[in-house]
Amino acid sequence: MSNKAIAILFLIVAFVGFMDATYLAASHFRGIPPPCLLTDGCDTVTSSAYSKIIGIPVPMLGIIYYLGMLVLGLGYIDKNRFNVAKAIPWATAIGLVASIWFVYVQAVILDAFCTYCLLSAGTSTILFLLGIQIFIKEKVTPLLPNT
Amino acid sequence: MPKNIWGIGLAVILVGAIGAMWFAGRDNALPSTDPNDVKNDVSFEITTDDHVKGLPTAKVTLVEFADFQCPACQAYHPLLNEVFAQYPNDLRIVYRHFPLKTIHTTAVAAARASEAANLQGKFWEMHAKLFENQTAWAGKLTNSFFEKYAEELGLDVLKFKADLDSDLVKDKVENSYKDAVALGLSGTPTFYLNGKKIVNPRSVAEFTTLINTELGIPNVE
Repeated sequence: MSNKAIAILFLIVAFVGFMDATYLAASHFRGIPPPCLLTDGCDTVTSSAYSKIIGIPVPMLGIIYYLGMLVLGLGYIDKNRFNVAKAIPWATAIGLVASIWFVYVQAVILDAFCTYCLLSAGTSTILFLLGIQIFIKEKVTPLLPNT
Repeated sequence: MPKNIWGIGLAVILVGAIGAMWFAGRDNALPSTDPNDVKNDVSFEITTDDHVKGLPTAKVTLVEFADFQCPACQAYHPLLNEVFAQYPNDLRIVYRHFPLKTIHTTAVAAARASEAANLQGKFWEMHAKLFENQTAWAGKLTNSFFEKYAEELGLDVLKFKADLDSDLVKDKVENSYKDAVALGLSGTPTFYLNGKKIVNPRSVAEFTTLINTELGIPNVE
């Protein structure tokens, strides 16, 4: 896969994550739990004590995170502006760690899963894997030769 | 690469955000609060699965849909005890779960605790404990309070803990919740007197007036 293809895939996945987080945040502020697909306990998860971090609803943090990823992705496509390729793996690692924590909370502590939260864990993991790809590719064949 | 990649990106993000919010705003969720959808006349089937206080031969049945974490339900707890004391033969009270999960984080857990106690024959004892100590356990994400109450009630705590997590108990609470949603209920407590939904009485006297009417006893002004 070319660098550009990876970058575009990165943007698409980040966009899916962003839509997912926005949907969850909108549901949160409307006070209506999202309907569950395939899993059981969306309302349990989204109304649990773990759905907020220092008072900030987790979906809001998700929105900020995915927006950041979109900016990084765009920055990468845009001639690797500010050399973002180096920052991408580290930034996506934050999402990966957060996802591992939230999957743990759902599986072990709450014993309830929310479809949209699992989707977000999936997109975060893919972003991390793509981030590693970008990092490696940049070392071997940079999108633009360093000037 | 187009120069306006940032412009395009921003536009797509904006459209995506609006789309996701629209999607969340569709009327796809629980409970309908349209008063026209609320069922006001229901013939309840009281089964052995129900929590019933009073005699099966009682002429008046009060079905209560309540949430152990709801402060209003707690306020009704002593009131209902007082009302029941006045009609030991003619009134039976049926308690059904309607835990308002979205606003009360531990309402479901409390309802499960009452069901687990029920499996050891102490539903009403746990029911009283939960209401009387509501401020202690409400919102605390631990079962330790419930386990303490179980111990105080002389229950087999190990069995109680296992039952809390059992599908039997979980399903019972969930089914009751779904029934309440299907009735179009949106708040707790909600009372049905002989199958008719009533406006929540604000005092013992208001309850007795309604019950007397059902019993055909003239109310003294």
